[in-house]
Amino acid sequence: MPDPKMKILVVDDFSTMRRIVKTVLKQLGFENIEEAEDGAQAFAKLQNNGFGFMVSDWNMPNMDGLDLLKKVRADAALKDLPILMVTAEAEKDKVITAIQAGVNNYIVKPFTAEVFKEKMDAIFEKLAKK
Amino acid sequence: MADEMEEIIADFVAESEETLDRVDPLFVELEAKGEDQEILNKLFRSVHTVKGAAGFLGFQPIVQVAHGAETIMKKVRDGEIALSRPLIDAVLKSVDMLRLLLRHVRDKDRIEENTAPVLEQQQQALAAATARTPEAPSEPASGKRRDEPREPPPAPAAAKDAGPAEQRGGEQPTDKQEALQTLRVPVAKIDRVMDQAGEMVLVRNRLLSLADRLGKRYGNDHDVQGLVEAVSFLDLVATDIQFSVMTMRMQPLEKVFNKFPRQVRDLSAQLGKNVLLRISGEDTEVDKAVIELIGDPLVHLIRNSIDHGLEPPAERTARGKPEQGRISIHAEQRGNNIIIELSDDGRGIDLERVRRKAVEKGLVSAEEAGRMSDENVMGLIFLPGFSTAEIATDLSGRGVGMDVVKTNITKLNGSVDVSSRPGVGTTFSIRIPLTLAVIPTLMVRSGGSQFALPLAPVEETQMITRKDLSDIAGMEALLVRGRVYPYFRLSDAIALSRTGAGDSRYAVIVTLGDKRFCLGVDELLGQEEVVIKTVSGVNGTAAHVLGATITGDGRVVFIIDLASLAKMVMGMAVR
Repeated sequence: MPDPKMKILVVDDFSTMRRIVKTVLKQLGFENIEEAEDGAQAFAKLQNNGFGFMVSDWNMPNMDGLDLLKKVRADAALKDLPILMVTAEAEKDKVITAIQAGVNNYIVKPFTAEVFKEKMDAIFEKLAKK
Repeated sequence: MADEMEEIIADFVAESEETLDRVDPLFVELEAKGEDQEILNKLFRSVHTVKGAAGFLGFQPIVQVAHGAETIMKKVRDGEIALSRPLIDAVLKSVDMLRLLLRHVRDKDRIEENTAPVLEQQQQALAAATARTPEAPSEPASGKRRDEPREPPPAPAAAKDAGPAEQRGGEQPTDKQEALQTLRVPVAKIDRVMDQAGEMVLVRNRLLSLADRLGKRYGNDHDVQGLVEAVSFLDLVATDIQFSVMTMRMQPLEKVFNKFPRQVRDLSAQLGKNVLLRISGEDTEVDKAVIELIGDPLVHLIRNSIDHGLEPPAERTARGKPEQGRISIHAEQRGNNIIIELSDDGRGIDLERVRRKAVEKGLVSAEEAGRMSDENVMGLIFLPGFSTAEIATDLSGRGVGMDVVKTNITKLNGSVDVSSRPGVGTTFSIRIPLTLAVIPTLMVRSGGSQFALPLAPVEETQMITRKDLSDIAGMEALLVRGRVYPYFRLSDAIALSRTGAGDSRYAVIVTLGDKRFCLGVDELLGQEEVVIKTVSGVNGTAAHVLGATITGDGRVVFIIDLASLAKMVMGMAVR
């Protein structure tokens, strides 16, 4: 399991959703959490800020989650950042696109803290094996 | 944890309501522009986000209704079906239902709405649209941007309401921090700070006068000079704090204006009129209380314009006007006031008809009506019981409305003016003070004490003598231009003192909604803008006191609550 002091970025345009994700993360023992309202803001925040993990929504104004993902993967300094994408079932069919673009895992809304933990563990176990 | 949940739910309701408020204007824009990909995507996202969060919180009815609306928006956005009236109606109905469901969540009233009809409407609209669309889109405006890549969903280019977020395209976003630098703070907390700031201002005033006296007496003392200096600095800081807190309660008028496009759309469709609504200055900020009270009067004025002001399309064409009627709403800040102007290019107000109607309804005498200036005649439309519509329609013309407009605006210490030109149009101009914490008052003296009367309901003042007063059924009354008003000495009315009757030298004539009466005072001291301080330990309503203020010369003066006084006075007059 990753370090509980790891810095995590939560990206969603709906503040209630950010709050829900944050609450889940806190339940899992993570305290060092920052927020961004859309992809553009998130990308700016990621620069030189030592984030260890990012949870991003898909559908957002300005820059959506998929564009953000692509941008992060194309960035030399950020390309290895573990990313969990939050999707609604309406976007399920597009998950393939996200996987091709290099997302580490995805989770469908609404989810419980347990499912979230499973997904997160899966991501970090895989990374540890590499 | 339970508290945390409560907070999240409260946030969810507030944020969802804000999100949904943005939907109505988007639809109106969509109807004007046709299938604009950017607008469609915004609409989709609005319901989509509400649904997502509702799912977490277990509000299944919200999820279901939002899901249906979202499905429609998604299919339209992805070009699978063409936008049509029934689809728009279904989504708007869904949004209405979502608002209702959210309200139940907020009120925790456990009322269950029947969402079946809305879900049904969504299905039917969707089925009809799907049947119609296989090959060529049936709507003329559709197909505009069909050739755009469909996947991934095109990120809208720099949306104009994207707020403080950055402009798209720039690789290096600049003001990335800004958007998150907002906090939701309960109004009660801000009000408490406001109260405390007011409290501090009172202490400051006291310090100021003490420092002033000390300065005069021991002007050469070094410490006293220091004290005087420090106090005058405190003076500045306290004023700044008070102002800053006031601005915290301010919100853009957009919150109210955003509802109008939808209402105008629905109303004009209902009345067979073709209306173009223009809104400007919606970013003007006003006190929260103004936001809450200004909506109804404005809606009423808009209804009135559509119903009575604007001519039917055929009549407009015959008069050489553009077929589409225009209503424009403009807001701006002028000095310490907010001005909201609502104008239409309709038939204007027929003054002769207003005169006739007012006489018929017994609001003025025929002779009086003849003598009145045009401006005064225009003012008659705000009298209770006045309505020029021959037949009461569903929407306006019930004679309850214009006076409500005036009453609500008066509550905000504001005023409303009308100007109209026959055949050209009508403009209503509403003036509201920037903040409700500072009100213009009329300073008077009665029974040996000084009082402040809120200026807005004061119609006029008059010098009077004993013989102007007559006794009607044991009550004193004052005759003003042929009309009888109940008369009370201010000091008697608030049971301050009873030093002989009728020695007041001035009458202040007050109009509050349908209540009119005169207050006798000994002296008129002039107009003054005062800061209201709530008085603790005094039952405001019982004492007919709105609050207190400190005048420039350091005196504590009560501000009279004319509304509560009116109630008491009229109650007595009836008995």
